[in-house]
Amino acid sequence: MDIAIVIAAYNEQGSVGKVVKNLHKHNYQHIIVVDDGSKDKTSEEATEAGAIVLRHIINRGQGAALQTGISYALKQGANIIITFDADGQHKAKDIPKFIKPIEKGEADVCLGSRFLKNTNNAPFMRRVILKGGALSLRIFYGLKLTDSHNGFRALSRKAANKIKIKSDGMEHASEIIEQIADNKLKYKEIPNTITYSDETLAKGQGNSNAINIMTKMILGKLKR
Amino acid sequence: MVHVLQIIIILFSIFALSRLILRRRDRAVPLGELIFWSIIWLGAIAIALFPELVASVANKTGFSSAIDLVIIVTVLVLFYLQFRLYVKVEQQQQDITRLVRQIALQRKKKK
Repeated sequence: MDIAIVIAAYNEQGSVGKVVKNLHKHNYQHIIVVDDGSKDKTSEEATEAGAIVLRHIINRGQGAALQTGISYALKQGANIIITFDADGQHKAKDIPKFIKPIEKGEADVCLGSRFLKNTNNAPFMRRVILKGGALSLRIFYGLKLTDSHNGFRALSRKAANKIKIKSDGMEHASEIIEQIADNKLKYKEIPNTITYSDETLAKGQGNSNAINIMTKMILGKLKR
Repeated sequence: MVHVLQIIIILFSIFALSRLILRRRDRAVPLGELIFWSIIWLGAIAIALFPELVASVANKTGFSSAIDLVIIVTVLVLFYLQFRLYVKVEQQQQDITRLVRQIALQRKKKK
C-alpha cells in the first residue's frame, strides 16, 4: 500500500459509495472508510463499493475516526495518507496535487485550501468564520494558513506517525495544525475545489460550532 | 440565638458526610477524596457553629461581611472542582475513543 485514502463517514449512506467508486475510477486502490458508528448502511455501502471498512461500534466524532483510519493505514505500510470527505465535497482529480509535494520531499503535510484561489462557492457567513478560524490559528500556533478547517489533506508517513489526533470532534482540524507547528513539519497549502450543495451544508458543521471549537482551542492551551 | 440556617447547614453537612462514609465503605471513594470532602463538610459545620470566626477573618481580610467571604471562597472552590471534572471527563472520552479504535482495528485483523 503506497497511497491510502482515509475517509471518516458518519451516516453517509447515499454518498459514501459514490465517493469510493469515484476514487476507484481515478485508480486509487486503498480506500479506508471508517464508519463512525453510523445508524444507516454506511458500512455496507462502502464495502460494496470496494473500500476497506473499519467500524467504530459507537460514534466518537470525525477526529477519532480519522485517527483510526490513519493508524490502520500506517500498520498496512502506507507511505502517503490522504484524508478525504465522505460527502462528495472533495474532488478526486485534486489528489495528485496533494501527493506531488510529498513525493518530492517539499512537504510533510499538504493542507487543502479553498481560499488560495477562487475555487469555491462558499456562502458569505461560512467564509467569515473560516477566515476567522485561520486568523486564530495564526495567533495560537503561528502558522500562516488561508483556510482553517479543510478536510482534504495529505500526510507523509513521517508526519502521520508524529501527528496524533486526540480531539474526537471537529477541533481535530486545529489540533493537526498545532501538531504540525509543534513537530516543525514542513507544510504546504494546496488549492482545492470544494463543492457546496444544500446537502453538504446541512450535513457539515453548522456555523455555530465555530464558537465551540474556539473554546476548546483555548482550553487546550490552558491545559498544557 | 441559633439561626434556622445554621441548623440546615449542619444537618445537610451531616447527611453529606454520611453519604461520603457509605460510599467509602463501597470502596467507591479513594482516600484522598475522602479527606478532601471531609474537610469541606466539616468546614461547613464549623462555619455554621462559629460564624463569628468567619466574621473576624472577613474583617481582617477586608471583606465587607462574612457572607461575602463564604460565597466568594465557595464559588472559587466550585470553579476548581468544575475544572477538575472537565479534565476527568475529557480523559475518559479519550479512553473510550482508544477502546473503540482498538476494537475497530482488531475486528479488521480477524477478518
